[in-house]
Amino acid sequence: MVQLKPDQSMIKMTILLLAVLSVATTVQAAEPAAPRPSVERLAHACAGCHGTHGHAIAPTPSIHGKPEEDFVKAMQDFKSGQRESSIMNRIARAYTNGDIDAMAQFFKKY
Amino acid sequence: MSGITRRTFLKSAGTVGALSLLGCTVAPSKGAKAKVVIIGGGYGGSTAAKYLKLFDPSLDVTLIEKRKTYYSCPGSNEVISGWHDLGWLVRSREGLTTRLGVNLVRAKVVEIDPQKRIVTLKDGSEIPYDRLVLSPGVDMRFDAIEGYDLKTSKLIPHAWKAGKQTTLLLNQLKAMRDGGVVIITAPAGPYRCPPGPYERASLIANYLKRSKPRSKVIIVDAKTQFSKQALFLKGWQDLYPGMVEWVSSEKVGQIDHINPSKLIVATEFNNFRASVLNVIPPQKAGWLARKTELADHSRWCPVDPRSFESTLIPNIHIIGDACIATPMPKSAFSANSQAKICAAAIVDLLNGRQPGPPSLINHCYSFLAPDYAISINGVYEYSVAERQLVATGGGETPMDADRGREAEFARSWRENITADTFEG
Ligand SMILES: Cc1cc2nc3c(=O)[nH]c(=O)nc-3n(C[C@H](O)[C@H](O)[C@H](O)COP(=O)(O)OP(=O)(O)OC[C@H]3O[C@@H](n4cnc5c(N)ncnc54)[C@H](O)[C@@H]3O)c2cc1C
Ligand code: HEC
Repeated sequence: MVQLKPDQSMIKMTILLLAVLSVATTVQAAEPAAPRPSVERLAHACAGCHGTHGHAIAPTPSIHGKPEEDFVKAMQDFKSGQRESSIMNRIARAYTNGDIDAMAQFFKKY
Repeated sequence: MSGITRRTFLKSAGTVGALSLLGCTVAPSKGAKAKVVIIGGGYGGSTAAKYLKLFDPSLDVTLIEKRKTYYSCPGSNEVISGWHDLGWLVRSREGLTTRLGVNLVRAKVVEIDPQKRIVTLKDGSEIPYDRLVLSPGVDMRFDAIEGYDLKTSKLIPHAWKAGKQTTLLLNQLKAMRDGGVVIITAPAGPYRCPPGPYERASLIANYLKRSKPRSKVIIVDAKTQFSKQALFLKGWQDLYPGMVEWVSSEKVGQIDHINPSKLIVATEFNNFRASVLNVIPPQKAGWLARKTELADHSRWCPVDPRSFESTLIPNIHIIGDACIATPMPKSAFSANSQAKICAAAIVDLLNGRQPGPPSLINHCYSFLAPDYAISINGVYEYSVAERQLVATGGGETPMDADRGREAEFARSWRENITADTFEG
């Protein structure tokens, strides 16, 4: 078989073809994974309720200094609905597993 | 003014200008601390000052606020219901100075010069900036409803800025006879605190039920639906049956005019006569933002939500109620969250880094009674395709949720957001 030297337009065509093909499955797969917000940008938004760096005035629980496993478990259970909270169920579902792990590390430090 | 004289500042500003032509954003010349000036010490501006200092303690951060006393709007409906005194709404920013080293200046900013990067105070003094943050809040549109102007608002309150206006409405409710009718007019969006008019109706009903049980509240709405509608309607039915009536513009048309001496609200198809009238007019970005031409035809300020930098004038960031951050509502929680993204972006930009993708939260609680609250929230990210924020989570309080527990969390929220924003 004759090996064609890939030139710019062929690469473009291939990309286009791949894109068209993957639209059939999911649109998202065609795009490179968008970078996630930095952990600081994710975590400081929680302070509106949980206090600066997770130091809250009760009854909202403080979330700083928690063992990472506990933090992750709480967030995953809120996300799946395993743990019921009229507030956190709605919030937790917006975060990826990676976001949750990163926030667990972030709040552990304070 | 700390450190830099006007001349050396202009010199270094010139350098920044020349370098940014080369396509990079540059920190001010070595040795000089970067100067960030914030105008407006409400929820947005105070949070921005605090987080700029947390992110980079070496920054020279100046917060300029024109009013001696800041009264929080969140909580003001509870004051109107008689649960607390007006003094309970006062927020102090002392901790921003004592604990974090923010320069607090009490003055009205009358002019911004985006070319020279200088703000001018009412007494003529000038403060230079490398980056400027504006969180001036809203102004009422006194040209929007015939019969309702600034002068009328001293007699017929809007109470949409807390303080004197809150007291005016409270006193009128106290003076009203039992059997009276309170009318609240609600504007079309976007306006400060979308669920606010309905929380107010609930808490006025709460007061009336205790003190004047034969009275009622009518909301004359420019909209045909409203925030947390199903939850509010259920709450009114459970707590205040027959006392709160919501009138959609679908039924009575838009407000045509107000007759201030007779306390009549005239819509296209109806007249409503009030014993106490509360007009919440349409709103616009605060005066300074519009004067500086940071607002577009909508009267609000377009920004890039990754940095909250104006899309119209560089080096000026607008946060809080004055900016367009669709689909985030105009709330104290939004202002607090936007301020943090803005602060992080400013630190990046001053260090020649491109700000990364943002993440924001809004959460608005509404009280219907001391042991009964509901909420709506959203988690937001930037969509490159849509070039704006999109909600990736959030929703309303589930219908079957415990309203008493939400009320406890709502009270807790207020303490936590106060500490997180004002360091007080
Ligand atoms: C009745 C009511 C209830 C509310 N309840 C809630 C709630 O429960 N939860 C919630 O999240 N939000 C609530 N809000 C909304 C909240 O109050 C606003 O969204 C929030 O205050 C916006 O913050 P901001 O920084 O944009 O403006 P503001 O807090 O209004 O601050 C602006 C500041 O800038 C100052 N300023 C303006 N121009 C100048 C100038 N030229 N020079 C110097 N200083 C200047 C002003 O004096 C003011 O202090 C409520 C609002 C109302 C009316
Ligand atoms: C609107 C207020 C609010 C916001 C915003 C919020 N939380 Fe929560 N959070 C709560 C409340 C209230 C609880 C208590 C749960 C309950 O009993 O309903 C809670 C519970 C938690 C818990 C479990 C703590 C424990 O000890 O059991 C974790 C972990 C948590 N939140 C993390 C977060 C993170 C991370 C964010 C930001 C991404 C966040 N929360 C944003 C209000 C909030």
